[in-house]
Amino acid sequence: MTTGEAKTVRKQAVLDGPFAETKDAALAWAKRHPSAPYGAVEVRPVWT
Amino acid sequence: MDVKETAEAVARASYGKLVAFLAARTRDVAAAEDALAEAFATALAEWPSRGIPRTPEAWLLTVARRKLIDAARRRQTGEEAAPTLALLAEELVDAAEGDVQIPDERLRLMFACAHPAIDEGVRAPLILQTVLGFDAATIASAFLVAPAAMGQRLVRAKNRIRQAGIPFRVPEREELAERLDAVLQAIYAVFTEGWADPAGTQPRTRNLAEEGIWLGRLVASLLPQEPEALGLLALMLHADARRDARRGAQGEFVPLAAQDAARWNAALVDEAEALLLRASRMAQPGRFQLEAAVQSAHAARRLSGETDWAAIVQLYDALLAITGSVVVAINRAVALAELHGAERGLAALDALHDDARLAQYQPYWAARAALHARAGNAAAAAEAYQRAIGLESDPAVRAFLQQQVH
Repeated sequence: MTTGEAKTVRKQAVLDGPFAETKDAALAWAKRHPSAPYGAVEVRPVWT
Repeated sequence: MDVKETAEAVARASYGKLVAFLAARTRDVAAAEDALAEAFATALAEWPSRGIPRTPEAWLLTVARRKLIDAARRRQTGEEAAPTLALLAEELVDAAEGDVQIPDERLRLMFACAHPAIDEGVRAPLILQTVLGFDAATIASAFLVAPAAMGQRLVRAKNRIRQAGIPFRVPEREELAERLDAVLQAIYAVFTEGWADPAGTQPRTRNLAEEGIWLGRLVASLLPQEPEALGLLALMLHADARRDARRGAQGEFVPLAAQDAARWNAALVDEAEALLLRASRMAQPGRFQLEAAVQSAHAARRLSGETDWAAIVQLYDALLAITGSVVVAINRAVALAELHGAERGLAALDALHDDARLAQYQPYWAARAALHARAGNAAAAAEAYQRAIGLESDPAVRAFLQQQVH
């Protein structure tokens, strides 16, 4: 599809929509890429 | 369901139909809305003691008509009032006589709202209010504008319908195309409101996604040669196909990457793909077809097991070129981050930072939070998550965002 022939949408338009990127996809990134490096540290009693 | 819930359910389901029916005769949308509001109030007062009528919709219509007649009597005098009163009284008799089928004239009202005599920018908002009963604040949020300004513009537009004597009919083919855009935008906004709440937990948005699809089917069947009408229907069907997969067994939010593609509705996906293919053969790309193509790219994961983010970025580039929409730009930034890394996405988001409308736009903060978290900027991520959580009304999404912070 080329955009040159597409109709230009005027400014006063419904902007918000069912966008999967911001509403369904991006939200999960932190969980997929845990930024907390100490998340998997096991807590063991010191005397073992 | 108790009486209040029944009244609300009838109100939701019949609002547009009843406004359209009443306004089509008087051309006074504001008066029709007022009369209906009074009829609903009367229902809430009377139904608990007298019971819910056998045909609640006809009951509401009868009461609303009486209110309209009262209002017309108060407002007008003598000969001026006679035609309106005669018209309304005649139909009052019809409705009182039994199970009159109330014709669905919503499409006629939608096209009246999209008439060239109405200011272009207010056509879609007007449809949302009159046909679908949206309040000014909800409409304003879809357009990312202030509610007060939206309210004033709606009042002016309703006066204009009455003063200009705009006919309530679906226009002939020649005039149809120019009015179509506003109608499609309104349907899109309706669907978006409903789609945000896939489990139907909020009464205000319940069934709105179905309503949007129903209207979309109506318009697409009426205008099978309009590629944007087909594109809109395709995008709604694609998004709706994922409905069940977007929430888990306990109603919890399931992000796209974690959704089980086997739970996507294959029949809806197939129908959407066929519509988009038909639209693309007409070689007139547009906003809704491009958004449908993005949805289609996500749906392809059910076959390939992977998401083609390069294709999605390309589609967003095209979409941004024709819309210039800040919302499109945010989604493009997320797709860019998937393709080239979080820093690239953050740079694209930073470029939008001066846009004051974004302060209240939850998806912007959610995207920012996720990209910062991905980039390892814990403090910036936490701050953006707090903004996103504060702006989120859906408990499932809010709970999910809260988990991300900890």
